[in-house]
Amino acid sequence: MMLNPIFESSARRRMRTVKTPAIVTAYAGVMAGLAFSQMTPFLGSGTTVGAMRLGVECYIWMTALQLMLIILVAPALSAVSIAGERERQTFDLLLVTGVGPWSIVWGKLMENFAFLALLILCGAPAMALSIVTGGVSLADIALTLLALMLIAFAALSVGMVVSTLTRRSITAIISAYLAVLAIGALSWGLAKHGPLAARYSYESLRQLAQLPTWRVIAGMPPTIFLNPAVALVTLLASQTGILHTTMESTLRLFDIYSAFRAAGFGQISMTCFAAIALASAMLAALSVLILRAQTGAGRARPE
Amino acid sequence: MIDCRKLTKRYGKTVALDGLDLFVGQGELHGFVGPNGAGKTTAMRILSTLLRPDSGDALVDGISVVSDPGKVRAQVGYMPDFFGVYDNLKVWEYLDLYAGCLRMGEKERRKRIDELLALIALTDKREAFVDGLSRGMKQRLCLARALIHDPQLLILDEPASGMDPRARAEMRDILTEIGQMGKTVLISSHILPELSQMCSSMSILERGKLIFSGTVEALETKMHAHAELIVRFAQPPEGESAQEARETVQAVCDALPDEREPGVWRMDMPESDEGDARLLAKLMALGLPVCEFKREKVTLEQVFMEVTRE
Repeated sequence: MMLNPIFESSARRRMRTVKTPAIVTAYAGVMAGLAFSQMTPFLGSGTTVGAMRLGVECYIWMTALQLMLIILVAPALSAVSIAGERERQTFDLLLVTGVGPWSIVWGKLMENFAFLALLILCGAPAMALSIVTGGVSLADIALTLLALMLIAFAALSVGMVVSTLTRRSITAIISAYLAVLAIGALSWGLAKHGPLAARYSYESLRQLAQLPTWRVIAGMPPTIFLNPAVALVTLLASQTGILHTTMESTLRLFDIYSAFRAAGFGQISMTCFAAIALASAMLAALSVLILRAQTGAGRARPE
Repeated sequence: MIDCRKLTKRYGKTVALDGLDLFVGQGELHGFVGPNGAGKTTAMRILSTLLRPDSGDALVDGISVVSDPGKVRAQVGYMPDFFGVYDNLKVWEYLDLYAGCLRMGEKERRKRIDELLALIALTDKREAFVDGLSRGMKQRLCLARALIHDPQLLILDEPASGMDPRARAEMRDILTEIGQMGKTVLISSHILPELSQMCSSMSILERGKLIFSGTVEALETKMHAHAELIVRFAQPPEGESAQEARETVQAVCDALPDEREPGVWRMDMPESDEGDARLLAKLMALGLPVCEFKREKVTLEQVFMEVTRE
């Protein structure tokens, strides 16, 4: 299923450009640079508690950097996939072969995803340096990489929907960035303000600890689970246990933070990833439906 | 093979196709002519199932493009009036992409690609990159792409546009070869003579309406009926003799001569040797200095200009 002809030819074309190795090199370079600058002070000092703390912090920084790079690269990648075919006037040629919208969307999404997965894996060795100082396990890193890949897929799905609706690449790219930005801001903003916002009182916060986890999660503003930053921060907090102050003060979400703590950060991050996965699948399906409506491939047959 | 019935398509207020009825038989090489904006591309896109008509229907090999587009696609090879090629893709990979989309097996694909590359004389460019090909080569590659699933009907939208005479001749040879394979070809152009050389039948489209459809011979017969009689005088007749001459012409061919340039009279008179001889004798009898008396075949280009004029 994954090796459909559109995937194959798009992947070939991408890997032949000079841009691709340049992006991979730059990505790995930025990751390595960050790791180097963070770890240098403790080089040669052996495994100490200080080094361990620094290694864990470095791991968190590198995860954050990967998230930023993904958000920077992903929307543009998928945004040009359909709009670019239209611009190149090759879209009609694909349609007359009878290849369905599903194959087109899936082939393009998977090809973009494979490239992003490659980038994320290129960042893995730098992240693995934290294993040397201790405090982070190999399983933690693997889980974080998977989480990053899921977020990458979600960002690609957003770009894909935008791509099906646009005719020109440049419009598609700009709209895709705006869409990703809007989703990030709204999922956060709506959780703090408006009808969906969390409404905890001091008393209810004290009672939270007694409630079963699912009740706590069900009582939270649902949009917060769609925010990739929340998903990653809670995941990292559950792994390292050092992000609490950041969440309490910097994120200014005291009430939600308390609810998070009551539910357990691991549970929250898993809920986030489930929500993001579901949303991505729905966005991908939406792209197929939009294409189907546009091309008339799903026209009812009189029989 | 093609049977359009009252095909209508509007883009907003513009009527692209206005109740088009078109019939093309199996194995015909059918030329589709009309000025820019006549609706050729719209008709071709409907036949390729890329557009849905507002009303009416078109049948390809008896299958409706409206109710069963999937089956029609298997019968039709469509080549639009642009290249539609990718960068960083080799010639064989380009064809392989479309063969894959058509769900052809790997062995079948390889065999078919080799056959097609031989047909379009690009076998030695198999490993070349598509974006490095010349215009003519790209056009031939696009033709191969349209042929990849061995369709019975080939729809070619302006395949010769922007090509040099040599590339046009090569394209014509390939199309003739395809015609010999028994395929039906619908080929559009805004240049009529170009098509009349290779097509067996033609249609002329103007503002979404069919104004002629039939064999090339029928079109030529239609043209001959319009062949003008041209009389040139050594000195333009003046005064009384001119008046007399005009009356004579009107008596013989029931129309006044058209005098666009001084001394040259053009007459839209039915072709008949006796009629011509009678008129010439009368003009001579008037003592006019006739230095040229001829029937001029209107060129296909002129016919086209004539029939597509408002």
